[in-house]
Order: sequence, then structure tokens, then C-alpha cells
Amino acid sequence: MRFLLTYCIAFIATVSISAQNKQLLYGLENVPQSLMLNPGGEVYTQKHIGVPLLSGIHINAGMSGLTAFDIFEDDGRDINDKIRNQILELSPKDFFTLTQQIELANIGWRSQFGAYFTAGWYQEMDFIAYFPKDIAILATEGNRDYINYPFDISHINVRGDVTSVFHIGINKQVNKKLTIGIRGKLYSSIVSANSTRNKGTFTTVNSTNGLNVYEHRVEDVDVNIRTSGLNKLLDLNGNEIGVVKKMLGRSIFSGNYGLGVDLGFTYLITDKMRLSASALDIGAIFHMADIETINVSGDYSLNGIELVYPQVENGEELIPYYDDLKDDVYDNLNVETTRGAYLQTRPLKINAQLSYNFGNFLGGDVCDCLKKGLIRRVNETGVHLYAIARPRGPQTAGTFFYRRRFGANFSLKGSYTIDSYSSDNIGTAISLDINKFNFYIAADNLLRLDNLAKANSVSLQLGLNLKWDQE
Amino acid sequence: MRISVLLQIFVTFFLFNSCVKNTDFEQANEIAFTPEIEANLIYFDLSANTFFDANNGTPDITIRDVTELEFLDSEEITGNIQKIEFFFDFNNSIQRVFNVKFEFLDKDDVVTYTMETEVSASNSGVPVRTVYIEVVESQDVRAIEGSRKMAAIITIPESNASLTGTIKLQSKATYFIEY
Repeated sequence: MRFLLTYCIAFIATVSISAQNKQLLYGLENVPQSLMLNPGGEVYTQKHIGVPLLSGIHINAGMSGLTAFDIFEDDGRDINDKIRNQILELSPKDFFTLTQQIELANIGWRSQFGAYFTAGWYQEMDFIAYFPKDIAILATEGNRDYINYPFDISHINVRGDVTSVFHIGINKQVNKKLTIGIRGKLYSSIVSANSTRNKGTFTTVNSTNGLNVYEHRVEDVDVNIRTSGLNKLLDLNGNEIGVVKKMLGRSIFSGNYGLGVDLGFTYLITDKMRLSASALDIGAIFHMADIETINVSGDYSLNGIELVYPQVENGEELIPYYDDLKDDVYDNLNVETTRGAYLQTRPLKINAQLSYNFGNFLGGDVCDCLKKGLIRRVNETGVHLYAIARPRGPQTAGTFFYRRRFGANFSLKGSYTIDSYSSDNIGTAISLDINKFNFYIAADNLLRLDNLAKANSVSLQLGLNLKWDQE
Repeated sequence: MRISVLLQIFVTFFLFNSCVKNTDFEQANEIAFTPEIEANLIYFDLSANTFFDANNGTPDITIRDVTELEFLDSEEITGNIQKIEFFFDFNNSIQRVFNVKFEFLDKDDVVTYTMETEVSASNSGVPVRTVYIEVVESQDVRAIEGSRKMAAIITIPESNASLTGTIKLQSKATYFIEY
């Protein structure tokens, strides 16, 4: 009971802080969820059942180039000056991400042919927004100090998806050296919105045509906003219960489905060297229900409103200058709303790991190695590489790790990660089996634990499973 | 159960040793953005014969035109404008002094704010420049924010059919916004 309570507190206390990169969980063969990161991982388990809702919890929030400390440091400086400086220092390649996953079900069992099957259902939210630098400057400083400066509309780059994923996988040790795995996924998109391919500029220039003081120019604009499953939620006008009901319904029947696969392998180069790799979410969702695509394109130059002083008799209507102007804007900036289906690829993730195992064999593994080839030693050290496809190109991370197994039931892993957020990210993971229960917890950015405000990102994953090891 | 003790220590360490130091999140209350936006306003280019009705053979001493400026009373900006600096740049090659009045009107055409200036006369048909700047603050800004239209009323003291030249206006406003 006390254990469960501690666990719940840990969860509540950490939902707000936790990374897309799960370098800590990768290769932790005692944790069933490590198979979600490499379907071709080694499995020493006979069967497992994830505790529903609690088997896999992962939340991450990260911002490259900026920490809360940069803004909220208690240093006596004016916060607005600090914000202004940060806006100027950040680049449009800096980004904010928010990722969350929760497993609703995860089970696995070994068939009589020796293959390990897994099946499950999880829900995932993935949001990335690049820093819209020029838009932020325009909104916070205005155009007064930026006459002749072209504000770049392409800085707007946002993508957000809430997806429900059903999966079934098979893992098989092919021979003494090689284990492979594949997982098929069915996606049901709960809600999806993106605006990732935008271009154009907005510039206020000193008039070149002599008509007025300035010309406000919108040039070569092509802005696209695509949403799927959003309008019907907006129609509910903030009725929260209605929104939740609809989203829950869509987690199974959204009308926007997709297919994908995860692939992976583990290869024993020698009895001490292991190489493994995986590619996750090779797939796409075909959006066809409740879709709206808004496209704005064209060029426009605004001079202001020219008064022409027509000769009017009493009662005659005045010229509707403002409406004419609006019409002119709409005529030149083509606004199109379409509802055509579209295909959206899932964010592909790649993991690769090379590790060196040394020290004594784990108790139970000594005989296994003769029979099956799988060998576990008490020490493991290696490198892990990670990449994820993002709207502005892949984001990558590299990790060095050391892992120590204390028997088959308890292992500790420490990691040092360099990624887009920072170059001194230290993390640790614990996996623990008590009787049939497997508990794991992995946390990132420990160097920032004494002051979370200084962290660009913090990652935390944890979960609870029931597990039966191989005899 | 030594292992579970270890775990407890880890969780406790994580929970209570992680904190946020040397920060003052109260500062969030002080966040205010103060963009300064430059935007064109009205312009015109009127020839001298605008002030003489050739059909009737009578001068038009005062002419008036109005445009809607819908954005002025829009919810997005109401209450957020701290100051407006109007900039009017006249070029007059007509040999008359003009009186120009700018009136802001609400939706019922009631005048909410007025600006008025004189435009210098040209001597010999060479354009003469008159720059008029008016800075509007506090209550007057509220009055303008409640408006929907702007009228520009031009008065010439005297005109006839042989009067030549043009009166031109270029104008802009600088909106000092705080939100």
C-alpha cells in the first residue's frame, strides 16, 4: 500500500516535468516496455501483463535554447527586458515539445514455438512548435523599429497530434546471435493539426509609389493550416464533458486511421559486444473525417485609404472605402478552405545501440548461453544514438551509458546524453522485480534536479507490470 | 527488502530534492508587451477644381469625406492602446491656406474626438509642405477607441474656376500598445 502511494505521488509530482528520447529504457530487457523501443530486443520473460493505465507512463516537456530560469531568475532585472533579450537570442530553429504517452494495455506471451508475442493499446500526444521568432518580434515590439525588415511568416511551424495506437508484435530469437522483431500498428487519430509548410514575408517599407507614407507589403505568401478532428471539438464550444466523450470515442472509431510498423533487431557480435537498432512508427495516417485545410496565398500591398471626395448631394451614400479595402485584400490574398483527405506520416524514430558487456555472468544466464546464446553479464556500457523526424529536419541525441545488474531482478543504469536541448544531461534508470511485479523508473537531467528551473527538458518514464520470467 | 528501501530513497530524493531555486515566478504578473505599430492612415491628392463646382459655377468651400475604420472599436485593441501619434504630411501647391479638420465618429455619427490644423498656402504654385503631428493620450485614446469612422473636412477660404494646383495628404499613425 505504501509502495503504491509512493508510486502515485511520484507520478503526480512528475507529470509536469518529464523526453521523446527514451535512451534510459532502451535495452533494459527486464522491462517489458523496452520492447516498445526495440521490437527485436532480447526477451527473458515467459509472459507479462502491464497494469492497466500504469504500465507505461511517459511525459516530456522541453524547450531548446531557453529555461524558466532565463526568464524568472530572481536577479532584479526587469522581466520584460529578459523576455525581449531571449526573443532576440532564440532562433527559429529552437523549439518547444510536449510529449505524453500512457499505456492502456500491454501484454506479452511466449508461444510454444519460442516466439514472444506482444499486444497492446496506448495513447500518445505529440506536440512540437518551432519558435516563431519574427512573429514574436512583431507581436512584442511592433514594426516601428523594423521598417524595411521582412518579417518571415515561414517561422510559423507547429504540429500537434493526439493518437490512439493498437499494436501487435512478434519477437523471435533466430539463432544464437540474432533476435529480430516486428510490430504492426493501427493508428486512430483523435485530433491532429499542423501548419508546417508556410512561406512569405510581411514588410513595412517607406513608400516607393509616393501615394502614402508607407507600403505595408505581404509578399509571396503561402500559409497552410490543416486540421483533422478539430472542428467537431470546437463545435462543442468548450463543453468539457462532451469533448472528453468525443475524444474517448475517437480513440477507437475516429474515422482517421493509419497503419505503421516498428522493426528492430539485436545482434551479438561477440559474447561481449551487442549491436541493436530499431525504427519505430514507419507509417502514416490517412485523414478523411472532419478535415479542414485553410490555405492563404498571394501578394498584397497596402497604401492606406484614399479619400476621393466625390461630389455628393444630400442623401447619397458615401463610398464604402473600408469594405472596398477588405474586398481588395480578399481578392489579392486568396483564402481557400478545402476538405480533401490527406496523408500524414508519423514521426519516424530511429534507435541504435552498441554495448560492451563484461564481468561475471548473471546467475540464471550461464547455462542459457550454452544453449541459446543469450548472455547477460553484470556490467554493460555503450553508446546509444537516437533520431526523430521533425518538420524542420531530424533531431538527434547521443548517449553514453553504464549499467550494472544486481542479480536478474534489479538493475541500475546511468546515462550521459547530448541532444538538441543540452550537452550535460545525466539520467538514471532503475528496474526492479519484486515477486511477479516489475517496476521501473527512469529520470533525466539529474544535474538540474537541484534547480529544475534551469532545465531545458526533463524526462521521466515509469511503469508497473506483472511478469513471469522464463524457467 | 533492502531493494525497496533503495527505491524509496530514490523516489524521495527525486521528489524532495528537486526544486526550483533563485527564481521569482511572481514576476509573471509584471509581464507586459509594448509593441509600437506604424500603420498608414488616409491619403488624398485633390486638384484645385475639387473646390469649384463647374456644373453650378459655384465654389465648394467645404468638402467632407468619411471612411470607416472598423478596427478602432474592435475588442482586440480596446483598452490596450496607451498612446497614438498621428502624423499628417501635406503638400500644397494651391495658392490658398486650407483648414483641415479630422473628426472621429462613433457608430451613431457622434463626434468623439477632433483634430484640426492649417495647411500653408503655396506662393507661386511650388508645393509647400505642412507637417502636423498630434499625440493623443489617456482619455482621448479611449474616445478614439470607441469610434468607428474618421471624417476629413477641408475648408478653403475662397475658390474660383481658374484656381490651379493640388493639395496632397499622406498620413500614418503610431499606436503604442501595451498588453
